Amino acid sequence: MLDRRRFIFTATLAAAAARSAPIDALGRDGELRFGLTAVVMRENLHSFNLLEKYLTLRLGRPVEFVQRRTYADIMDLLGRGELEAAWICGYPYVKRRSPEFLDLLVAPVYAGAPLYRSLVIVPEDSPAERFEDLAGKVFAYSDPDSNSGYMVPRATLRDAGFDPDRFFRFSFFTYSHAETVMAVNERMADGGAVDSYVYEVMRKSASPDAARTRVIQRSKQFGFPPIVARRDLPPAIRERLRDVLVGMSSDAEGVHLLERLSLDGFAVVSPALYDPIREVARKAAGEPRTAEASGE
Amino acid sequence: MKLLRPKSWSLMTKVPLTITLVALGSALTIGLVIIHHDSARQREALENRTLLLAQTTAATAAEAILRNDVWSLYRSLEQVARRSTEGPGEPLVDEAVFLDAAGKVLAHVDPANNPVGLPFNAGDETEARLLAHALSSTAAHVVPEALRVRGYIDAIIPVTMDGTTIGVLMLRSSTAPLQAQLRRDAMTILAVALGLALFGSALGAFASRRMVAPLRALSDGLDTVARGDLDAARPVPVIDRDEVGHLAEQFNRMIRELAEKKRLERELANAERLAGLGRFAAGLAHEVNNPLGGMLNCVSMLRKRPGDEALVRKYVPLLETGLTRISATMQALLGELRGERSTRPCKLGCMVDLEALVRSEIGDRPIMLDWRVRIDELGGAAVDCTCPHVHQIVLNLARNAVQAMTDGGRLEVGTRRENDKLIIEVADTGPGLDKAAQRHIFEPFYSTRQGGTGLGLWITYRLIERMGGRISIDSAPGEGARFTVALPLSRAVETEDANRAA
Repeated sequence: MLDRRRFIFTATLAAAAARSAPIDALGRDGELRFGLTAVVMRENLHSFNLLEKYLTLRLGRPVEFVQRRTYADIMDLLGRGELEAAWICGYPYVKRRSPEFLDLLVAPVYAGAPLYRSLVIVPEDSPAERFEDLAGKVFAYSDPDSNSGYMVPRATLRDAGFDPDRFFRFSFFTYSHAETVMAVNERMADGGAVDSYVYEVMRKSASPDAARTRVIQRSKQFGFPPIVARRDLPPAIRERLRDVLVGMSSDAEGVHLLERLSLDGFAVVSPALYDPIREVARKAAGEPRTAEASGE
Repeated sequence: MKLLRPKSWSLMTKVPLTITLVALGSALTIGLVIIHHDSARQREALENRTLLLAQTTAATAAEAILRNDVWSLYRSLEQVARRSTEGPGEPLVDEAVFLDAAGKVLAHVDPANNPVGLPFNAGDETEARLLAHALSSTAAHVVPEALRVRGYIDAIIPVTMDGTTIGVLMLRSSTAPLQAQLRRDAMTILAVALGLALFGSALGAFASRRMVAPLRALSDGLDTVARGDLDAARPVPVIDRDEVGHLAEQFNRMIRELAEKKRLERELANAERLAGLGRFAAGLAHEVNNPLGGMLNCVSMLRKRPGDEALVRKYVPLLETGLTRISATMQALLGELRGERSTRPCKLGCMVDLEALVRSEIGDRPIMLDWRVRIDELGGAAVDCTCPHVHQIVLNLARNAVQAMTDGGRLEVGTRRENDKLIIEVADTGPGLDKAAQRHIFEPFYSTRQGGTGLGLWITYRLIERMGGRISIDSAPGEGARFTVALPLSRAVETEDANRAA
């Protein structure tokens, strides 16, 4: 709970800073502001709190984690220079920006590789066996800018010859993978698209929501949601941040934190890792956004 | 039968029963009043809470409805009506739903049965009426009594944007916990009432034992006193200093005083008896002593001059007179004291002769005789004694009256029948008698005038007493005296008359 309050507090501070101070490479007190979104689960809030402290210690400068509900919010803050770095999804990363203001910093390594999938889940007792069985049902997306929680299932449907906007009777956004699982478990939705990393962590931590759902569709693998930094972040700080993140797996405390987050570590990856997402995005390009997706 | 007449129940029953009933009654009354007030208050509190929750829940709903962010709406509903197993405690409300302006479900706390995007299925007629009411509402309110679904309280909040209703929130609280609470309260109050009643019985039994025991002792004591058995009356133990204790003290004082009074009366009677005896002896001595002095003188003179014929002729008649007087006194005393009971009843016809005797007694004194003896009015009745006795009674009283009226007056002699008694009244207009004289007038040798023997009224009294009659005197100084004699009429005579007639 403390963490949530802290996030809000920090956000308020950041907003105040943005109004009163000119855009700067760092926060008013030289802190590094780090954005988080749908990957944060209720189950691992404390782990992020510990990670915040760890990074502060290792970087030698304060690190503030800033959580927003949507990717759009985080991208907006990044674009306005109110965040220096963020853990975002592959899709927002590959989205074309001009001028480009983000650099790929590192990618988390999960289950031995910086890769994950998009899963389609249904309630445990649902009669649905395949994704197509959810035709005419209610479906939960995570975020309109999410690769696994929006782009991938829609691309899959299009590949199968369906119109994703008409396939479901009703669809909505939860803006959190964990809440998508919850929406499915509580029958608000008959099915939902989630990040395999989040879903598997939830199952591992015995989340009752996850335990009462099952997977009916697995996508191919995509590049794991990356950690990006603003291009105008001083190179020394950017390098330092990359080194700290990459070095976590070779430091006892870092390993402990990674274990808590169910990650193997962070690795420097090639932007080409996200080409499959670019492919999906290209497929989606020109397609109208769903009516309900206005996401701020 | 006694059970059906509460007035005959013992205090030992009534006091505990009363206390029990009063305790039970008060506890139940107070309890019911409390429950009634509490019920209304809690219902109002529940209504207010439901409305407040609804207003809070709907506060940010307009944005979410505009953005079709049904998940936010659902989460806000879930906050107040949590169905998942994660949330601690009871849900704040039982049902919650956001509908759009057309009545389609935006979010329902039970999405499995109320799918998003479909028209809300209200259910029965009451629910349908409530739904129609909700969709046409323009202000936040608690559903009025008339539209209420039994067992629930519904709050309705229209969600508006720039004056347009874009959705409505319905929040429903069950009154079941309220009812359950009321039942628990009622049970508690009932238990307390029964407890109080039980305590009241015990207290009543104890109190009545304490209160009734002295009352019963008093009642027994009064019974004993009423029987006149003062010696058996025992003081009642005084336990408390209350009214009953005071009563017991009074009773104890009363029997003490009664015993004292009885003792004094006994002593007084004894003293009276001895005094009477003394007066009798003194009177007798005086009566005998008076002639004795003269007679002893005569004897002394005769002894000095034994041969003096003239002296003998002079003194012997004097001696004779003295001795005769003593003898007469003795005769009168003995004749009276010997007592003789007549077996022949006296028919009152003989009283006719009395008038002449009384007139001769008056002689030439200035006394008017008012003779009111009406033999015919007595209806052939008789009294249980000889005629001379009746004559003696009347004559003695008449003579007494005549002698009392030294300056003349009026003498009244009358008879009448009163039930089974013959009443003889002799009244004079003489000087009358004071209380002390009245007390002693029937004693032997008591006389208010010189020369009387003081035996006349005493003999009269004894005669009447022997006949089973009574005599009373009504007099005051200066107001004359009225003697009233009551003699029982004989029954034997009536039967005898009947026999003779036959």
